[in-house]
Amino acid sequence: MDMVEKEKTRETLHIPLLRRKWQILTFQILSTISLLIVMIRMNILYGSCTEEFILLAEGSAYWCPAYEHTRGLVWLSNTHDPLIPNFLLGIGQSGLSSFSGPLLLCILCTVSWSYILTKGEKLQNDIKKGAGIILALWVFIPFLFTWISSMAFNGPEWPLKHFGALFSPMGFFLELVFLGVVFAPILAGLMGIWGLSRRLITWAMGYFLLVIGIHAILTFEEISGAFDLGLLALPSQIGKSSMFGGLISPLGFDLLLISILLLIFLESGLAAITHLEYAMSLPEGSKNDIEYIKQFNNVVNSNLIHLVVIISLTSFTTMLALQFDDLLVSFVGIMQGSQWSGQVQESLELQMTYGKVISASLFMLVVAGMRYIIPWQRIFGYIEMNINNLRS
Amino acid sequence: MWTRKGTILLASGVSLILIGMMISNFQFIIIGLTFIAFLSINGWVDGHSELEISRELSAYNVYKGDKIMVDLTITNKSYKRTQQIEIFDNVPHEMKLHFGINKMKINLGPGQSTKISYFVRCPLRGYYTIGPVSVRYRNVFNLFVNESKIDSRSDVTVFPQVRDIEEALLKSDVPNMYTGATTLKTPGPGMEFYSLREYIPGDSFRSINWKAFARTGELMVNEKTRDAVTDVFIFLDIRDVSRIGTVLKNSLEMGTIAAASVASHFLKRRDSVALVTYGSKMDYLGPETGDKQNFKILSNLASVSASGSMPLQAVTNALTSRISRGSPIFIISSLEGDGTTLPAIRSLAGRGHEVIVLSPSSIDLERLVSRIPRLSYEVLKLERQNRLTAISGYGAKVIDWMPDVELSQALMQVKGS
Amino acid sequence: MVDWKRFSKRIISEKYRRNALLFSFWTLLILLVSSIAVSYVIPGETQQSAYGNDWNDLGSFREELNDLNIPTTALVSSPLLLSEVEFPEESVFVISGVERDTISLPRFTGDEDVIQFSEGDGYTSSEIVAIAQYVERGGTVLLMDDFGYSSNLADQFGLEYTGHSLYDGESYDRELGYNFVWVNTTSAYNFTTTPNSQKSVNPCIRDIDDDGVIDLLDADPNNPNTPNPVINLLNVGLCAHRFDVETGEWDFSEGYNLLTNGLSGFDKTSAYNPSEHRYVVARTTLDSWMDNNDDGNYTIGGYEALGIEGDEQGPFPVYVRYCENILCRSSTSGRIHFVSDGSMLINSLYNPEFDEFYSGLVPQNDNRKWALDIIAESLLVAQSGTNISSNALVIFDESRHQQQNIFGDTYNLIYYLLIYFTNDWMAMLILFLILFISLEAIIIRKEDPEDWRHIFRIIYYGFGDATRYEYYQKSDKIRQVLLTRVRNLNTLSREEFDALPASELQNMVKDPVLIRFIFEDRKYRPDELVGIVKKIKEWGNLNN
Repeated sequence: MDMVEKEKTRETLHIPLLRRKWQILTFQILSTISLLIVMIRMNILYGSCTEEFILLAEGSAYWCPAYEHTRGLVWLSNTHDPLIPNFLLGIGQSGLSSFSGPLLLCILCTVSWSYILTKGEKLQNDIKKGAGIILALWVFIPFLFTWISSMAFNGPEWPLKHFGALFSPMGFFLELVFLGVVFAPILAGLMGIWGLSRRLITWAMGYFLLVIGIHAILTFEEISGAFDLGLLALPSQIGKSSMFGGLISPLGFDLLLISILLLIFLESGLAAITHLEYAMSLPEGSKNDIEYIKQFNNVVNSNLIHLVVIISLTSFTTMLALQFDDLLVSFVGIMQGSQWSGQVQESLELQMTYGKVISASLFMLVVAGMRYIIPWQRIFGYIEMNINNLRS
Repeated sequence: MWTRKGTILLASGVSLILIGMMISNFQFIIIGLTFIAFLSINGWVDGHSELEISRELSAYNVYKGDKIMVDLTITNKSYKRTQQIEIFDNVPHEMKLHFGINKMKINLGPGQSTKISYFVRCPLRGYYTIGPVSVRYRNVFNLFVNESKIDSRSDVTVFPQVRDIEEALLKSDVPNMYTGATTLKTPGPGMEFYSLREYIPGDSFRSINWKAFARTGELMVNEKTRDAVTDVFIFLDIRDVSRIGTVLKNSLEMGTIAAASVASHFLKRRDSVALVTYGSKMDYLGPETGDKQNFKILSNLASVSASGSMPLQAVTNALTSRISRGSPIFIISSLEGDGTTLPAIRSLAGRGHEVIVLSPSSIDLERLVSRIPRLSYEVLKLERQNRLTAISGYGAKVIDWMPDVELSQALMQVKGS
Repeated sequence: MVDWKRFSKRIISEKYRRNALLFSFWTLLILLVSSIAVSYVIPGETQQSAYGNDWNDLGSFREELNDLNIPTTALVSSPLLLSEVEFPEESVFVISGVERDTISLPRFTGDEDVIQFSEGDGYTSSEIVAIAQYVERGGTVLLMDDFGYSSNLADQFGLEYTGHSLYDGESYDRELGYNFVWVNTTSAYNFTTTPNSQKSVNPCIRDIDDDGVIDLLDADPNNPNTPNPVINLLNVGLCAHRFDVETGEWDFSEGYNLLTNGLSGFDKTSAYNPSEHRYVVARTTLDSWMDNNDDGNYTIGGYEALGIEGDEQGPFPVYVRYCENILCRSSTSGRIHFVSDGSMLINSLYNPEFDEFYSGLVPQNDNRKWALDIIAESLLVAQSGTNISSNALVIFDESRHQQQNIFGDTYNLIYYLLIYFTNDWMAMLILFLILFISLEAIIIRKEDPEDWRHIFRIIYYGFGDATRYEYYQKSDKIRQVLLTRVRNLNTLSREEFDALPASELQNMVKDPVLIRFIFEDRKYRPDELVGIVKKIKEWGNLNN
């Protein structure tokens, strides 16, 4: 009993302790896993070029602005050898293994960044300065070397024709750019989750939406008709609902998965930061206060439960909403006989995206309105109270 | 109320759906729908503030600079979870958090309760109210917030500090003036036993000394000393000019400390003390003795604030008939901006009162907040000296009280005529 | 008595003005919204709907299509949706009467005007473009309208509705009345003025080898000698209307006797234009006349002289076919059948048997045969079999029909708005701008409540009168202070001091600098004054 008491009192709201707290770690791990799955799913959905485009390339290296990194890097490596070793770039590997090298780089960056953050500003400044010097040396030394060595043989001359040497790091930066297309949000997301930065997490989220947006615009018929970049468009029809007992179509599920994972990434990443920020704002006295610790646990636990329950319900609701047009058609069918119900039941709109959207919006209205109909909280409150009574 | 995040989520949800329809992109539509579904589902959960809140304070009357411990107990009496709510106890800005913090994020289950404990320091004299309690429900994902207030208030009175001036008064010139008077014991309705005398009809039965009756066989009654043998009058200047200086160091603050200390000192000696404050109006607390009077005086002093410009003479004229003969009078004033000070003190002194003028040096207080040119400062100082000299010329004892000098020290430098 | 002063005061008070402003704002808004709503929702008779069963609805036609296993669908919002039809070459878009206008915005034209502000009645320009594109993609449109709002759509294809009633002095149904004009054509598949039948466009009468069996049912369409399968109800499919079950004969006729109700006509000159692939299929008789002045009377010849606009003598084109390909040669190419009567397929004409009242009354006509021929021509694109593929679709335009209730109208309006704003370029641009601005506004204007924290703040009220500082640097003031000091230290009353002779004052002061200062009224330099004040301070102390 005493041991338990001691164990309890040892718990405080100090940041180093909280960073090891299982709930906080769960948030961070959940967020990280979602981030990585989003990357993989996005690669599958948005990482391909069209068949025609691949055929046009006739077996040689090609690149289209898809969410995939190896094609661009292979295309780049045709002109010069990459500076970053192939296994880190993922060249030569296929499928998931092509992600492992760059992911390793991202993780290394995140770990060292988080470590540097805990050190003083001096070290950060030194690192910045050091990086700047190395870059400057990298740019100028080959240039000076070629120029001076040329002068040694050919006598004094203008440095103009050696300017090309100034661009020697260019290849490296291009490699980073091609890697960045896929891994910039991963790096930002990881740094945001583990380095506790809201800005980076929202930036990563925004980046993913941007990728989806750019892909959508480039594959929009009117645009792709004007200039084709070889991006593979998503199917224009969502397809037959065949998963989970006819609840959603495979394509719908893929798209929903991405949006739900994005939500999980955002919300659980931000949750960890919010709780740690709150703990940080407490003065020393309150960090040791048992009441504060108890309530902190209450809040964190409820957040975790909310995350799981609400995200699950959100996924389910979205699936239902997408399927609601079928239900609406059957509902209108009940009102047989009237001219209006006849035409609505048969209407082209209901069978198309518009019908899906309008009926989904209607369904959302119903869902939102359910808060006034069903006293959820009272029901759960009763359940909780009875469980507590039973326990005691 | 929707938060910024909630609103952005809604707007981008709708935008994504519509743009998705414009460019026939299902991913946009589904992300938009997911956002809206997320908002709709979150709408089901609502926090509430049906809480029972009680606040306990370690003290309700404190002296300036003291600390108070506040315990706020929050109980969820309803059958619902409160959900994530932030509790914030509204502490007046004039109080400083000393230990702990006056807020907490909670999520109480039905019937649960928690306690927020913190300490505040009260560096300023006055009447304050802790409370009401602000409650803010914030959705777990920060999509909606809802604020409310629970009207739980606790009043706190912060009295001016009471300094120990006994030694100072002993050493200085001041107490000698009426030492004789205070030791002169006369019978009266006091507490301390004075003598026994024969019973005269009309004496209360409670005063009969039954032991003496048993011993002597005659009805004897206890006579007690009159508690206050001297009526000490304290005139405190609370005119607008008394605010000259900083918020913590000004004539009024110094004056209240002085008045409280002097009153306390004399009340301890069982003298009766009267307090007159004058600013926008005159406030007269008649001579009384005892702890009750001390409390009254302290409460009065806690509430005073600088305003008005009532001349001292108007006050003395109004009170002439009430001031008992020979009573010593303390005038606590910066003597700034009142042309009637001299004639008023002259007339009081003329009537045989011992007048002690305790004057916080307003020009030095002003110097704490304002850059006074050296020459002006010197001339102002000279003018003030002239005024003090003139007052002491009428037989009053004058204390020029510099801001950085302790009250007891100041009292020791009484200048007599 | 009325207190005018108080009344006028109240009227110009801020609260009153605010309320008045609010009231006028809401009134204006309600007026605006209601005027838009009124222009959209026009109470009127519901007619020509494929989902109605009144005498003037098209229910029988749709039901027959359903019986033939042809999927039908309704378009309740806007023809803009036609761009979403996946297989337009196997679909028919049936417009029967364009009864109303709708809401539209200015649009981009792509010409030098850039923007066209006013829209014509009926279909909006974007809708017309959508219909035209649908036809380009191989879709078939059956447009039946008389005095409705289809002129813009006809315009797009170079055709012009006259918009007046067409009567025929001879060829009308005597029992039903002069409104029921017969339009008879014997060679509906001879599109041009030269005799050359294009009957091969209709798969239900196409018979290349002339063996009496249509190609679709022919074992070898090019060889008349190949034995053919027996034709019966099971294999006639979409061409069943051409097959007589009792006699077992196939109806190869190319003519139609069409009964119309409230006929109008097309402009004579523009209707026929083979170079633009516009062919007149049917005309009225020479006895027909167009009631150009809408007076209902026959006013032809010499009436202009009386200042009366005269009517016009027939024949008038009433059925025009537009083909995307010349002579509608490819079965998958688009085509439009323009008919200048909206009632050709109403229940009472299409199938008089639907109601006892009409069964004996309405004479036998070819309206049904004609309609089903068009359906077959559009849907039977494959060269084999009389059954449709799974892609076939008949779409009824219900977006321009009155609905029975306000809810129906609102439902259609919501769809219309959604489709209009996500399909029309100008509307999309406006919607996009609105979304963008509202998002920006949220980001800029929406603020979250601040985090609560206790702030220890005691209001700093420095108090002093800085204006007097200058006054205290003046020599007069300094002199006054000095004199008071001298008077005080010598315990003199004001009167005594004032009465003091100058020499005595000099004796009291002693210090020559101060004496000079007392008596010499001149301008002193600041450093001089500093010295004097120092002296005054010292003087007092020395004296003490």
